[in-house]
Formats: sequence, structure tokens, C-alpha cells
Amino acid sequence: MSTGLTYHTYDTDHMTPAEIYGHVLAELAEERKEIVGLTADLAKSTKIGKFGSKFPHRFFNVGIAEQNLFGMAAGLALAGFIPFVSTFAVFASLRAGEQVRTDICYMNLNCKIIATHSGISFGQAGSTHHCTEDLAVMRSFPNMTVIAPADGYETANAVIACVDHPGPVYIRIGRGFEQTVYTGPDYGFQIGKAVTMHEGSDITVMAIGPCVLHAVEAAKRLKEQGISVRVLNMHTIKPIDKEAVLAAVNDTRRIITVEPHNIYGGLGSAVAETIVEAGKACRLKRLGLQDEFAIVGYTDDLYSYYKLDDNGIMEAVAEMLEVEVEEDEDWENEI
Amino acid sequence: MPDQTKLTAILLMRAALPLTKTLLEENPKLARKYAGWNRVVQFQVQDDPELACHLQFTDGKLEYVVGKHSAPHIDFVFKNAGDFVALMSGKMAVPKIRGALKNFGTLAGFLPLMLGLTLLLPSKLPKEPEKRALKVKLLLYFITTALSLLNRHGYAAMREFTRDMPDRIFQWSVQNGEPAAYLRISKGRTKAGRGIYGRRRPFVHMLFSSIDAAFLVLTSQVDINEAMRDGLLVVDGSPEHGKDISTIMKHIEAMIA
Repeated sequence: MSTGLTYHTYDTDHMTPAEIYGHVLAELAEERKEIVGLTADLAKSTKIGKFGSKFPHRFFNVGIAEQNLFGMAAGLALAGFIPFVSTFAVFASLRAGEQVRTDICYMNLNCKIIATHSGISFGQAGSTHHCTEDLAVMRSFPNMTVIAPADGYETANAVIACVDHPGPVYIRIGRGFEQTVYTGPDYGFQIGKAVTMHEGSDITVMAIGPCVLHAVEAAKRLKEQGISVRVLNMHTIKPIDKEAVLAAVNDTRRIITVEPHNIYGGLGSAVAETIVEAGKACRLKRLGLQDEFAIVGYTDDLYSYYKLDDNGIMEAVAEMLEVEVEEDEDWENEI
Repeated sequence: MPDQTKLTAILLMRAALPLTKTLLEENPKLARKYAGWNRVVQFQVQDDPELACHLQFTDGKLEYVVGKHSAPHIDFVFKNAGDFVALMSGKMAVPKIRGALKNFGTLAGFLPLMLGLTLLLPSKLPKEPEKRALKVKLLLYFITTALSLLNRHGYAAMREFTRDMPDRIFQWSVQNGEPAAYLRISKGRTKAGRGIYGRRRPFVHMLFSSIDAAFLVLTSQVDINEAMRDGLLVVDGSPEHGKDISTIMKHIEAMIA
């Protein structure tokens, strides 16, 4: 679809995915009069407030009442609108899980959920505000498409693509402050189609969200040591790109999945299901939360703690390939 | 950990004095004064082998070396670390100058280079664009090396910051790449470097929009938060770690003030 949008002119390097989402939605709504926005007292935090400022008559803040938020969105979708609903991932997938399932997915309504502060991105806000179950929940709802963009550019692409993608869509983004992995929006984003970020033949790392950048960084560093890592950005977890998964099995025979989510029910599970259902076999390691609630700390330290950053991914690759990563610095020889 | 005065002396001796080399690289006119020089100028604090270094000129090329030289031409000997800090901070302190009479020419010739270092002083706020650019470069080099030295010498806040940190790069640069300096941290180890670290993306990148922006922020004329709000500085990466390392940078500023 060509929207004539110029979102790429935004200073994407310096804008968070959430901010970009707010801008892109506000621009989309210029052309698409059926777009409406809803939130539950989190307009500023989720950046849908940018849309709200521009189109106050098409923006609804329901107060701290997430179940009502999704019930109302369902009603608007039935009336022919395309509701974009923004709240924290933990509220969208857990507190309002029943409304998303029964009011929206059961009727296959054209409702778009933008869930911010997902995974462990809320860091210091603690376990009550972390959300490491949403992919499992949302994947299990029939009709739901589940996307976890890698950065701001991809968030913009996903928001644009989901407008004309029929049925409910769940777009999972972080708290903001995530670094960009792409240098622009034109890399051929398609819902359900993985993106090869780094070519390689020894092993495949499949990642989502901010872990894509970490995987790419790890692959670059491992390349210096003669280890060839394919990195796939699996931005769409449902439907999963089966072709890309099976090609990875065939070409590299070793796969590591990386996700800021419980290892049960998310990307790793979707990949494992695909492999087993195809009757294939390969070595598979799932990096993520090992069925535990996340500890509390700085967001990036949590990525490190759960080995979801470039260092953790390098370590996992080395372990699976049974190689040692060499020291690359003479620490004593300072300037 | 050494006491605060000694630690400050270590920072000034090992992070500031090596910048004499940068001064020569950046100022060909000054460098010409030392063409063909084969001299050694030493700085030391009496009875403290940790606080000794020498600047070795070989055919005009300057090298900074940690530790004592066996036969320096000029030897600045300070009674204690406090005197060295005082002199380097632009205050009054008179060291013993061994070799001053015998090698007066060397002493007189060396002084312009030492005077060049006064550009680092907080009170020096030049108006000329070239001097501002030089001050930004010196400050970036000084700060990154000083951060690493704090860690190596057990400064509690820095040790705490680095102790459990995985391999990460903290980068400072001005738009378009020059000047730039970085600090690599890995599990309690640190290493300062100059330029853009090329082998991996920075974990935190403090990117100044221009030399003037960097000058205003690094000389504390503009607060970091205001600088970010006004577009003078972008912090790409972890905001919490960016804040934490900026706080330690403020400690350094306070130590040398």
C-alpha cells in the first residue's frame, strides 16, 4: 500500500519506536478518516497523545479502565472504524485479556493494539509492570496477528502495514530509548516475512524487538573470529515465517532464538513448533526468561542478566558451536 | 584506594600531562619549537613512585612515559601530591626544579607547552573557534582517560559502576565524528581510547551536535538535561547508564576544580 507518508523524514535515529508510532499514526489518520485512537490514561507514555492532540474528536481516553478500553474499541470497530488502542503490554494482554479475546478476536474485528513497555523494558518499574507473557497469550488468540518490531523504522512500517491487514493486530514495542538497527524504512517490510539481517552459514540467530540489534552486533563480532552467523529478524511471531525457519534448519542446523519474553509460548516456541511439525530436527536453544519473573533493575542490565544482549548471544553461539571466543583487547595498554 | 588528593594527582599526571602530545599534534607552530629536541622532562612527587612520569622528546617527537627516567634534563619535584594538584589546577605551588640551571634552555623551551595545558582549566573559556575545538578535544580525551584511571585506582563509584558490567562501549563524539573518545568497560576492566570505536556499536553514545555544543556542555555552561532538550546533545542508548557515567564525570570535574 502506498500511503504517501513521509515518516522517514522524522529523525528516526533519535526518536523512540513509541514516538515514531505516535507521529506515524497522526499522519496516517490524515488520510484515513476511519482511524480512531483510544487509551486508558497513558496517552503521554504510549505516545498516542500525538494523535490525540491532532484529532481530539477522534481520540478517547477511557481512564484507568483497560477492560472498558478494549470493549469500547470493539464497538468502534463494529461501527466501521479502525481503532488503535494503546496501553502498556501488561495491561493489554493480561488485565484486558478476556476483552481482547472475546470482544475483539472472537469477532475478528479490525482493531489494532499497540502495546508499549513490553517484555523487560520497564526495568525498574518491577515485575508488576514487566510483561513476559504477552506473546504467549496473544499467539493463542485465534485471528490475532502478532508483531514485535525491531526498532523505530520497523514500528512505523508495522503501523502502516497493519491498517489494511484484516483483523486484530498486536504490535509489541518497548519503553522507548531502544537503539535503531535499520538505517531507513525501505528494506521491504512485510507482515509474516522474516528479514535477513546478517548472512551466515554456521548457525542462525532468530530475534525479535531490541534483541535484533544485539544479534546483529554479536554476528559482526563473531565474524571477526571466523564464525558465520545468520541473523533473522522474526518481527512477525504469528503467522511465523515457516519458510525462513525451515531454510535455517536446512542451511545451518543450529538455531538460537532470542526474545525478551518467557521461553514458553513466544518466538522460541513458535520456531520449535514449526520445526517439529515439518518433521525436521536441529539443535535449538531458546534465550529468554527461563520460566521466571524478571528481576528488577536497569532495562539494559536486565537484557544482560538474561543473556539477551550481544555478549549473551555471543556466549550462547560459542557454547552451541563449542568454540572459544578470543579476548580482543590488551587491557593494560591504555593510551 | 589512594586518598582523594593523590587520586586527583594521578588523574592530572596520567590523563592531563599526556595531552601535551595532543597539543603538539594540533599546533604545528608550537611543535616547530621542539623540532629536533632530544630532552627528557620529568614530573614527580617526592617519595611516591606511583606519582612519577616523564615526557621524552626524541628528535622532536614527544612520548609520555609512566615512571621515573634515570637522567632527566629537567625534573619537577613536588613536596606532595597536593602541590602537584595545585600547580596543575592553576594555583600557586612551587616545585623544586632539578636541572633548571644546567638546562635552563630546556626549561624555558618547555614552558610554552605547559602553558598550553592551561586550556584544560575550567576558568579558560576561549572565544576563538580553533581554541574551543582544541579544548573540546582535550576534555574528551582527559575525561575518558580519567574515568578509566578512577576505575583502575579503586574509586568506589566507578568500581561499583564497572564491576558487574558486561563488555560495553561508552562513546563521546561531536557530529561528523571529530573529535571523539570512548571508554570500553568489561567486567570491572576499563580502557580509554580515542576516536570512534569501530568494532561494535556503542552501548551509550553521547553525540554533541557541534563543537560549540560540546564546549558548552563539557565546560558546564549548559546542563546536560537542558542540552538534550535543546538538541545540543543526543544520548543514544541506555539513559540510566548515560546518567550514571555523567554523574561520575561530575565527580572528576569537582576533583580538579
